Amino acid sequence: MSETGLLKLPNGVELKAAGPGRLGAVAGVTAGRLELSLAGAAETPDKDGLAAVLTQVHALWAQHHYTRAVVDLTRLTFMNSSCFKELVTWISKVQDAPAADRYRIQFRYSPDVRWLKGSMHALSTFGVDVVDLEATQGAR
Amino acid sequence: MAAASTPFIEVSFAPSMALVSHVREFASAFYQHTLQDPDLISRLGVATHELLENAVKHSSDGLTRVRIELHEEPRTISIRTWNRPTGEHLETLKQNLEEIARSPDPGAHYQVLMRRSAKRAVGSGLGLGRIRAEAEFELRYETHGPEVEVIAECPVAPGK
Repeated sequence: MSETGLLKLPNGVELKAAGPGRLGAVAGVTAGRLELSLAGAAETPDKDGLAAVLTQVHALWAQHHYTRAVVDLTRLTFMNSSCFKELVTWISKVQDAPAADRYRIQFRYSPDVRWLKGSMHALSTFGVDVVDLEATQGAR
Repeated sequence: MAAASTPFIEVSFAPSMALVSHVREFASAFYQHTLQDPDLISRLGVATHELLENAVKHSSDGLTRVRIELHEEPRTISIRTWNRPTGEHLETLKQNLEEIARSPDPGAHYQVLMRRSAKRAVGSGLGLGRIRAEAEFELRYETHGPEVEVIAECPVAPGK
């Protein structure tokens, strides 16, 4: 386990984060796309852990050249602005990459969760060229 | 016997980021029993958290107070925080709130803040913009000597 709370598995395609806060994150690469699942509350103590996870996700692109990263937020109960900023920074990093190096980021969320709906609208506007939204029912 | 009043909660506490989460959760639970509006309760949680984090982070003497209150005529809900910020932070807070006041479109202004935030090394700079654009609360501030009061207010639909 690194100082950031990341656990890298021997095959190098899965990672887990368990920082000092209440956020859980698991990512894995399957069938040419990366899936990252966030669960619990993403608050200030989780900021560095989330940033480290997103850096790893971005680094995995160089290794696997997936075309899409799916971020499942259906088990996320809260996210503060410090952690939201990490998503903004990640999107900006993908936008700033050369066109051939870009991948799409797809956020999966429940539109029934009102606060998350507002965040998703803002992120999709910000990342209009790289972000897709997947609204799903039946989450919390 | 005290006169009946509209529902409110008021909490004073010493700065701790961990307490911010608990106060947000308590406030949301309290208003689930008072408001019949899950949409508003969800937005209230975001606004409470962001206001409190700002107040706690920048309190110079270790104290923060928050009051969340439902008002009648007009029917609104307000979140008020009080702290004693450093002079430097008070100036930053004033600048940020005045920039918000000059920006008629909350969503467009929030996008500007997000573009700035992506390049920031320290802090997000998004909290107040998020309260306005995502939680849909209007913001203002008042100073009382060394103390600053930040007020976030939102209409409550009739019957909710």
